[in-house]
Amino acid sequence: MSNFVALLFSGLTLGAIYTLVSLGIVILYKATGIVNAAQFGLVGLGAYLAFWASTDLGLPLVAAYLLSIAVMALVGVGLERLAYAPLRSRPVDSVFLSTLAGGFAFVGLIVLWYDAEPRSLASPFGLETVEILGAPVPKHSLFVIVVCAIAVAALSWAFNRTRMGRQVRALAFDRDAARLQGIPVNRLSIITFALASAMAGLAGTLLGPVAALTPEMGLSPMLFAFGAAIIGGFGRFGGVVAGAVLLGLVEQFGGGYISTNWREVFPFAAMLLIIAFRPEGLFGGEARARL
Amino acid sequence: MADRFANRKRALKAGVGALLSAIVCAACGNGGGTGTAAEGDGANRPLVLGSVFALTGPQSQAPYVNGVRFAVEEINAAGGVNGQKIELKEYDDALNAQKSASAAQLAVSEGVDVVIGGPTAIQTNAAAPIYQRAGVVHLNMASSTAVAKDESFGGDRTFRVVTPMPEQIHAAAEYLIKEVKVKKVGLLGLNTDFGQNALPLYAEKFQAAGVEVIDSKLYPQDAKDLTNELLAMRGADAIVDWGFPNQFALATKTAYQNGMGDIPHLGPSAVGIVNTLGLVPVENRDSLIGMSSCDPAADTRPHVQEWAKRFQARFDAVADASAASGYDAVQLAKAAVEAAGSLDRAKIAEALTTLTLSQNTMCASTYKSDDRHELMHEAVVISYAKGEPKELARYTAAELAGTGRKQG
Repeated sequence: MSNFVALLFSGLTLGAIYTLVSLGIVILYKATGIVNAAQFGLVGLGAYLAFWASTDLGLPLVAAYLLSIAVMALVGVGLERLAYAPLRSRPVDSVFLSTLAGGFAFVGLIVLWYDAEPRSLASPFGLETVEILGAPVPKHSLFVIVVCAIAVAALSWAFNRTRMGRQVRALAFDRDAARLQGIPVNRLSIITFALASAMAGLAGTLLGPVAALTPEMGLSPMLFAFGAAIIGGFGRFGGVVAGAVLLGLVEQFGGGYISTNWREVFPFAAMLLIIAFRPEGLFGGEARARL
Repeated sequence: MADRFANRKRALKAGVGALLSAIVCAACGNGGGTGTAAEGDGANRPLVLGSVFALTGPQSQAPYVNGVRFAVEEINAAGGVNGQKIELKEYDDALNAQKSASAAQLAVSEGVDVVIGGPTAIQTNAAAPIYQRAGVVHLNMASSTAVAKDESFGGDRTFRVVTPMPEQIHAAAEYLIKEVKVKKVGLLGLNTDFGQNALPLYAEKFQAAGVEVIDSKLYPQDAKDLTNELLAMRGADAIVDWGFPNQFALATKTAYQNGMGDIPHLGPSAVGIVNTLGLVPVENRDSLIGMSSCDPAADTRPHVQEWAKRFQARFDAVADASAASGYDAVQLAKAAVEAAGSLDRAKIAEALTTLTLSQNTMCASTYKSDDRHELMHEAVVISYAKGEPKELARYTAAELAGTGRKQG
């Protein structure tokens, strides 16, 4: 039983990280219609910003995390201005490639800044654990899950209850009609890029204490995040959360009860199976992003 | 119209002729051969040393690079090799097979005489054949690669600078069996050649000594969670973890969180990097044990301690086993060139098979090639409790040379 509980919480933790990265991708897609491939670079940059703030600036860890998220929001604005705005009227695949280049640029920036040697970002909870049903669960894991839940709730509220959220949903439904209605597309684009970047930064700061900081640390979570977005039904928050959590749990339980050697294959195998039977994803929505 | 055509034809002929002349002149200047620095004496030119490591990619190998640079700087400051300063060329292969091959091709085309590189099988397997075909002397930094003279990536120009992995494993297993007196052990390893080759060797050693192997798990290089793997180690008296620094640190933290923080957690030289980079909190390093060719931080030899201080001052970084090995590799190249009396690569290789180097070495006390072109056969077991490296056991060449080799 304790093994099951330990794997459950480690799967939920991974799922929470994938959720945060995936929501950033989905938010942007809803507002702009493009898939942001720079997320992996933003995840790494967010983690390194938190590391810099906690070590070089000497800030307390939570303050360092918050500073990282705030800076990442500004980075998102910069990304929108430089990698997206000039290509707004171009084909989506050009924009996709531009954001992918942006992601690698961020990785290169990290290497120039800190070199490629691994670093360690501390957690406010250190390595402390709490016992749940006989299993030692890291307090940092619970922190990640709770923060993710708050972020999802806040985003859901923002997109369902605020004018900005309604405008984004209108854009996602019919971009041309939304423009004709006077929705400020450019301003929404900047806001959502900032939000998506902040989400990636948050994912990076939460992932940092779990795995060592390396410039390319966001690549693997981004792959899982795309998977979560696709199997959850691209564009649906609830679906994305369900997809991400599913992938995290499949990875951990598959590794724990079938084979650790194939641990990273199980989530993608699950993804392929789901798409084969439900191309629109588990919860409907668009069958694919326009790439 | 006909005149314009004729003019274009003449211009084209002239251009082709000029191009061909340039090619012939370049070939004449090079002295033929492969188009790179030929296998000639090269008496009036400096030794061209190539340093091929990962500076970007999943794992940085900067300590090796800095060790090589430091040696070149100190040798050049003292007058160089045979009166000529070493020309150092550095290449980043990003720990990637394609880039390793490209870096090797570039090094060969730029006339490198001796290359130092290849700490992993990914890098070595891609680059070693290129160096061998080009006749470049290759000083390989990996314990687990098949570069011994009679192995797939070995040859008459390839030499291993660090203690071969089977010998390190023999020493580590001896330590756990005889000193720690384990009865049950868990095995973890990176799911690459490094871990895949090590774990069966460990299992064989332990089982031969009557030690139970509870489980043996391989994990991916980009693992973000090792809960599965550590849960499988429950009940072990010690965990052997043959991976890279990032994953070793993750495994250590996970072991601690799952109530296994007090049992010895033994790994390769990566443990030294975990310690110097602080990848695990100091209070959680009491169980960390590293098996390595050497560790300057725990070395009591006065000249090594002095060197480590100079290295720290130069690079603002702690000198670890990688830096010491990189430094010694350059010393080996220098000694071989001086013994050969020329930059002829065949003579340099021949010199490496016969020389003994004991002076000014920071890792091994003595380098001497065996019949498989393996230059070092020493190992140390280091404790990193409280972040303070301390030597627990030392194994000499007399004890290790030839151990782990399959008989017959």
